[in-house]
Amino acid sequence: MSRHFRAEVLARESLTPRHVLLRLRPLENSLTPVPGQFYLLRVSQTLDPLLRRPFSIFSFEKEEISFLFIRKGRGTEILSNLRPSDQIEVFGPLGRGYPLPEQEATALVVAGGMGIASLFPLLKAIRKDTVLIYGAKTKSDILLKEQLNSLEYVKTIICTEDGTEGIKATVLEPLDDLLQRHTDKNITVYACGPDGMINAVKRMIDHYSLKGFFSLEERMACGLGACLGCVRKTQKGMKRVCREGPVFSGEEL
Amino acid sequence: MNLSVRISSMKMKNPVMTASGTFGYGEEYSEFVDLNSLGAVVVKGISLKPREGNPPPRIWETPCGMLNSIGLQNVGLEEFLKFKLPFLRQFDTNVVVNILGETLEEYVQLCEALDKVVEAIELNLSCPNVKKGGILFSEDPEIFKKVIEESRKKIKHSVMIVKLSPMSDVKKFAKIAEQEGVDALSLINTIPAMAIDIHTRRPRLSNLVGGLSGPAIRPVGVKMVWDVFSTVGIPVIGMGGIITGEDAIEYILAGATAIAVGTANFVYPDATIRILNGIEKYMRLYNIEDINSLVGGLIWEG
Ligand SMILES: Cc1cc2nc3c(=O)[nH]c(=O)nc-3n(C[C@H](O)[C@H](O)[C@H](O)COP(=O)(O)OP(=O)(O)OC[C@H]3O[C@@H](n4cnc5c(N)ncnc54)[C@H](O)[C@@H]3O)c2cc1C
Ligand SMILES: Cc1cc2nc3c(=O)[nH]c(=O)nc-3n(C[C@H](O)[C@H](O)[C@H](O)COP(=O)(O)O)c2cc1C
Ligand code: FES
Repeated sequence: MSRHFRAEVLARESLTPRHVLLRLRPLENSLTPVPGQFYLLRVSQTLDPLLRRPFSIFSFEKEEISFLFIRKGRGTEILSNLRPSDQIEVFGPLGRGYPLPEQEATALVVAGGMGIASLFPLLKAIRKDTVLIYGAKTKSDILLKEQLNSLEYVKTIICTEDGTEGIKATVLEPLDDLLQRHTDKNITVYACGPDGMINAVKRMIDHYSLKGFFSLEERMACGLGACLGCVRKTQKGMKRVCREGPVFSGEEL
Repeated sequence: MNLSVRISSMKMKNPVMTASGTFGYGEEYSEFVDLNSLGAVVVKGISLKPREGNPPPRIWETPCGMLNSIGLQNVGLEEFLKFKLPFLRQFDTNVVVNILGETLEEYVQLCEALDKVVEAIELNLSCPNVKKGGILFSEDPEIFKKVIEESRKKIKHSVMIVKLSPMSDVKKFAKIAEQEGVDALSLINTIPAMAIDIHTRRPRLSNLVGGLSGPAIRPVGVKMVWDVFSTVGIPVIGMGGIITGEDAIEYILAGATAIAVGTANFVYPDATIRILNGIEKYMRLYNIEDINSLVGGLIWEG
């Protein structure tokens, strides 16, 4: 059982012209990840691009491991051109994932844009009534509507900045609204999205004195905590996103 | 087939070492690499006190390479001796500590504390001297000479290695180091470089400038190893962009007695082992009995 293994491409599906679901079949036994953990994918057999790209685990089954990503630059462009039966080097699971909410706690999940990729497996794992606030710029950035609908415990509130889908708002307005109405509740907030959103959600849960877990992104090289390339400043000094993270608790940040 | 080499009095079972800062304190990679099979583990640069380093972003990918501006973050001497070194001592390999300081006194104190405790001490002199207006120890021949002279007095048992910066006249600095009684030289350190996001007009690294490493710098490293090998008589440890066994052989032919693997660890977590296997494969291919017979084996009618 190794965290460094080869996998074969089963399928590469385009959810939209910009969003790709990459489904892989590991060619060796691999470890079972927890939601929030990530993998480094080698995008090229050559030395350019040199570094592996980090992606959150989107789904994991016995014979299949998949990632959901947006085409951003060269690395994701190459990955989105993979074809069935191509092989790729996979490295993971890495880092620390989301702890599940405690017995009595209710989960409130906040996804900004591609943050949904990391939070979707968490939503599947929680298995009790949960609210998801899912925000993006516009309608075409809202993914997985059917899959989210079929999660029986999850009530989804969709918002877009331009109002083309769901309510016209950022995730912060419905979040504040919910928290104001439920101050007495034992709520654990989970958030993944752009830094600006993370900071705003963090301020809000501090204000309501709630527990929260945040998944951060930083450029990475080794993925193992060795190069110190991926640090973020926390309450307790510089912490490595690849090792102490990518999921940090509200107190840590 | 003999793969063992010596860096002064340090015997290594093979010429493969890790490059400082790319292999953590060894523990991080022990899941992928049997540390017993390495010639030496060179750890992340250590200072007297823990250092926080630069704010992120600290890395940026470039064509066949990367920039880093870690800024010397490390756990400090005390924690290294208490927690990191005992871990490495479980393995049958040499431990080399890369040291960095802000003042001459800091280097001297580190040498004193580490002498005899580890097999070798590697002085990274590409650090700003805060008492001399921030000029790098590796930049000024006088400062370079002085820090080596004072450190040498404290290193009585361990092997003393000085790491050369590619920004200096390496032949000149190699000679100074040899004259001051240094046991071995290692090179090259990263090459100062920068990158700009043209859309925001901001630097890619928060520190503005970083060090370039990876395959992109390999030809520079090979040339400098050749320059130093042909100038001094002490052993040379070659590094810069070594990804495969063939790359390692190239450095050995240019004059390196041992080689160090840096950025390659990020490309393949088991890069050191792949490189070791590649070296053996080359030796079998050409019926080389002893790796030492390849050192400086470049054929050139110049
Ligand atoms: C822990 C973690 C989990 C992630 N999970 C997902 C996911 O599930 N889905 C998804 O679409 N994206 C995810 N990302 C972001 C994803 O890694 C980047 O979008 C991707 O690396 C971009 O590569 P590129 O070559 O296409 O882009 P380029 O911009 O050309 O990349 C240049 C360099 O910057 C790095 N980089 C660029 N953007 C990011 C970023 N946001 N975070 C870290 N490094 C970056 C690249 O890895 C590369 O080294 C995650 C990032 C991290 C750190
Ligand atoms: C992330 C990173 C951190 C490094 N930290 C150190 C260090 O602490 N001390 C040092 O002497 N060199 C350090 N280096 C330089 C390497 O040891 C090596 O000289 C250089 O990277 C060239 O080799 P490479 O191309 O194989 O990486 C670092 C390099 C990288 C990429
Ligand atoms: S990526 Fe190297 S320490 Fe996190």
